[in-house]
Amino acid sequence: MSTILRAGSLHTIDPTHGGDAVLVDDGHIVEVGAFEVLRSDHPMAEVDDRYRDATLLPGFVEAHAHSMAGGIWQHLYVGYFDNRDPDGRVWSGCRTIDEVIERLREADAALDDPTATLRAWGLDPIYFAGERLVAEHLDRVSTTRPIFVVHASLHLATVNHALMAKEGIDADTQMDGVPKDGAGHPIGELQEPAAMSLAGEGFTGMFRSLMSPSGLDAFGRLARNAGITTVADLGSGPIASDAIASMWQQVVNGDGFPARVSVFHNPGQGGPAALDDVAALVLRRRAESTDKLRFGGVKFVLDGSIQGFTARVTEPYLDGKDNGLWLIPPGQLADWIRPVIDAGLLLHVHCNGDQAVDVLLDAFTEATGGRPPADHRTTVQHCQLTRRDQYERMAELGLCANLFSNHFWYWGDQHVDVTVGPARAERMNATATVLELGIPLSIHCDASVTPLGSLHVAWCAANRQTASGRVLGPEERLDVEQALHAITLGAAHQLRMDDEIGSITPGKRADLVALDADPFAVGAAGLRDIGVLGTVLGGQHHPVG
Amino acid sequence: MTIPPIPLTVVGGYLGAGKTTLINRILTGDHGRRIAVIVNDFGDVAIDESLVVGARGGLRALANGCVCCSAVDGLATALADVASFEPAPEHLLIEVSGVGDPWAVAQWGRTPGYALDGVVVVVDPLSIRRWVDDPYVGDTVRGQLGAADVVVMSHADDAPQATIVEVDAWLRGFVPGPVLMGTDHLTGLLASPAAADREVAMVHAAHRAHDFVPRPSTRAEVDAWLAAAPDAVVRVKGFVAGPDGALLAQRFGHRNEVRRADPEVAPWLTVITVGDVDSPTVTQWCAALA
Repeated sequence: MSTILRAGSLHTIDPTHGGDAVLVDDGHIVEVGAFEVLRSDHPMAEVDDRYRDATLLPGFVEAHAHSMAGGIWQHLYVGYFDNRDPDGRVWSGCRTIDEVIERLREADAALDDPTATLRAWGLDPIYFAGERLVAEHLDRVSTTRPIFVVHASLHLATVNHALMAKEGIDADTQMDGVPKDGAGHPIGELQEPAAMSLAGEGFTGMFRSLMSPSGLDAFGRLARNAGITTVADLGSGPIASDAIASMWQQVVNGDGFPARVSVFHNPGQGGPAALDDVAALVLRRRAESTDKLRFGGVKFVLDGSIQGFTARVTEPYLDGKDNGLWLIPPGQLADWIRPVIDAGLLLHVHCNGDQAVDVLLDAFTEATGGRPPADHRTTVQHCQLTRRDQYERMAELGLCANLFSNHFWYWGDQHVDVTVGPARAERMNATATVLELGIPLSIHCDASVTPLGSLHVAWCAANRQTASGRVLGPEERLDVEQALHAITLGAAHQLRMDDEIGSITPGKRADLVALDADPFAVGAAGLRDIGVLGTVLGGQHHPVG
Repeated sequence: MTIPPIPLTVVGGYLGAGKTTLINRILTGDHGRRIAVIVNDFGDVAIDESLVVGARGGLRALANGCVCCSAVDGLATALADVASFEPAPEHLLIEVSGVGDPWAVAQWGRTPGYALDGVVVVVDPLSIRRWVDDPYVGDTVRGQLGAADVVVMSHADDAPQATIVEVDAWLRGFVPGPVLMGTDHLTGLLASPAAADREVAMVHAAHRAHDFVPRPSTRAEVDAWLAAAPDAVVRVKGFVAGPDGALLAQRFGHRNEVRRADPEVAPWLTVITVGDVDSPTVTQWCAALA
C-alpha cells in the first residue's frame, strides 16, 4: 500500500528533486514532487496529511554520539545547561553549586530507600570559576545517604562523607587522586578511575548501568526526539562480547526502536588485542548487520579533549599548562590503522588537537603508501583545532571531517579565556574552510558530552555563538543549506550510508523528520528553536514523546 | 588473619624500551614464584603459546606458575580477575602502554587488595636521548622518567659501552632514583620477605641480598633508618615490630614507605643492594636496626 505524505514545505537535500509531497511504499521513497501531480499519477495511494502544516526534511543523521547518553539518564542530571531527557522533559541547568545541591535534595527526598546511593552526572566545574564541589557541599544534602556525583568529563567524581565512611576513604587513604585538606582528611574529590573505584558500588553502579537494554532504548528515544533517524555509536562497549552485540541486536532490531544505529568498535574499550583480530572481528559483526543495525566501523582515539587540557596541541595551552595525552603511541598508529584500511572497514579517528591531526596525517600516508584506496571515507573526528595547511593535506588524501561545532555554545567562552585563547578559538571547527577545500563535512554533538540534537549543532555551525554572545570566526559560518546538508547527507556519507539515507531521493529509505517551522524561513539564527514533531523511519511514524 | 594485599610493581617506558622482553623473561623464567602480569595496552600479550597450560576467564596460566592477562577490558576488571585467581598470585606486574603514565597506573596499587611496591621505567640507551627531545612524545617520555622509582637500562649487553656510560651519566642528572644496568635487575626488585628462601634464584648476579631480624623499633626510627639508606640499597622489604605496632617497611629505588601491617607477621627484613652488600657502609646501616 503506497502513501502520499503531504508537507507544508519540503526540502530534499537533493538538488535533482523537489516538491511538497513524498510517495512512500514498502519503507522506501518512490517519488518526490508536487502533491497534485503525485495524487493524479497515483490515485490508489492513501494521502497522509498529518504533516500538512509541517516542514519535512530527510531524517537527521548524527555521525558521532555514544549510547551511554541514554543510559546516563537513569541518574540525576546536575549539568550547567538545560537538557532534555528521553521522555522529553527539560531539566533546567544548575547554574551554581547551590542549585546543584537543591537538585540533589529534591532527588534525595524522592528516594524511598534511605540507604540507596544517590548518583548524579553532568557537573562541569569549568563554569564555576574556581569554586570546587566537595564533600561538605554534598553533606548538606545528606549525612547518611551515600552520594556520588560524576563530573561531565567522567574522569572525576565528588562524594559525600557518608559514602567515604561506607567505603573506608579516610585520612589513611594514600592515593594521588584523593586530595586532602590541611588536616589530612579527604575533601571528597576522586580523580581518575583508580580513585573513583574507591567509591565501590557508587562508581561501579553508575558505569555498569550505562550499557543496558533500557539505556539503549532511552538512546533511541533521545534520537527520535531530536529528529535523528540514523545515529552512530562511536564506542560504548566491546562488540567483541556476544552479550553486548546481542543486546544491540535485540533492542535496535525490535519493531518499536525509532532509529538506525551504526555501532563502531573502539579497540580501546575491549575485544581482541591483536590488531589483525580486530579487523576479523568487525568483519564478522558486519555480516550480522540489518536494515537498522550496522556494524563495520572502527574508531581509534588518539588524544583527549580541549576543555580537559588533554588534547595534543602544537602551540601550548594558555597559562603554560602541560600538553595533553596520547592514547596511542604516535609511532604505532600506522600499524594499527593499516589492517582496518586493508580490510575495507570504515575508519574514524578521534583527533581534537592539531598535533594529533599531524600524527594521523603521517600515519595515514604511511599506512596507505600515500595512495589511499578509492572512496575510503576515513574520517577525522572532532578535528577541532585543525589548521588550514592540515585541511589541505586532508583534501589531498581524501579524508573526511566531522567537526564538533557544539563547542562554540558549550565551551566557546572557556576556549577564548581559559584553554587556547582567542586566535585559536576563532578558527576552531573551521566549517567553511572544510567546504571550500572540498572535504566531505559533517558536524556532531558527541552525546553525552553535549546533548543529542542536530538542529542545535546546525545552529552552532551557522552562528558560531558562545553562551555569553560572542561570535567566533564569523567567516567560518555555514549558511542554512550547508548546515542542513552537514546533519543529513554529509553525515550519511561518512557512515557510508548515503546510498540509502541522507536525502529525500527516490529509491532511498523513507527516513524523514517533521519540523514545526521551515529552517529556510526561520534562518540561521532560529535553527535551534525549531521544534521536532516526529520522525518517519522506513515509512513508520515515530511522533516525539 | 586477613588476606594480605598483593604487591604491585608497575613497569613503564616508551615503545621499544624493552618492557615486553623483560616481562616475557618473568613469565617464562624458572624463579619459582607465582607472578601475575597485566598488559595494559593494545597488541598481543606476546607470550609463547606453548607455555600456556590453561585459561580461566581472561587469564592465561603458564607452566612456571605465572598468570597473565590483557587489560583491554579495563584495569578494574583485570585487577579483579587477578585477585580472584587461585592460587593467589604472590606479586602483580602491570606493563603500561608506551604512552601511558606509570604513576597514574601505580595508583591502582592503593586500591583494596593491592599494595604498591613501586614504578620501574625501562630505558633503551640507544634511543632514549632521541625520544626525550621528540616533538610528539618528548613530554610523555620525560614524564615517565620523572615517575620512575627505579630506571633499568635494557640492551646493556649489546649497546656500545660508551653510549651506556654517557646515557647513564645523563640519566642520573634528572631521574630521582637509581639507574640500573640490565633488565635482569627487575627480578631482584620483586624481593618479598614471604619468599625469602627462594630469593636467591631471583637475584641478579650484580645483586646481593641480606636478610636480618630487626630489633623492636618505633615508626619514627624506621622512617629515619630508611631515609639514611646508602645509595647501593635499591630495595628493602619486610616487617618491623615495636611500640607502634607491626609495620611494613619498604624502599623501592629512592622511595620509602612505612605503613601498618598485619600484627601476626614475624619481624624480618630483606635488603637488596647493587654491588657489595658486605661493604662497611651497608653493614653499619643494617646494624643500626638489627
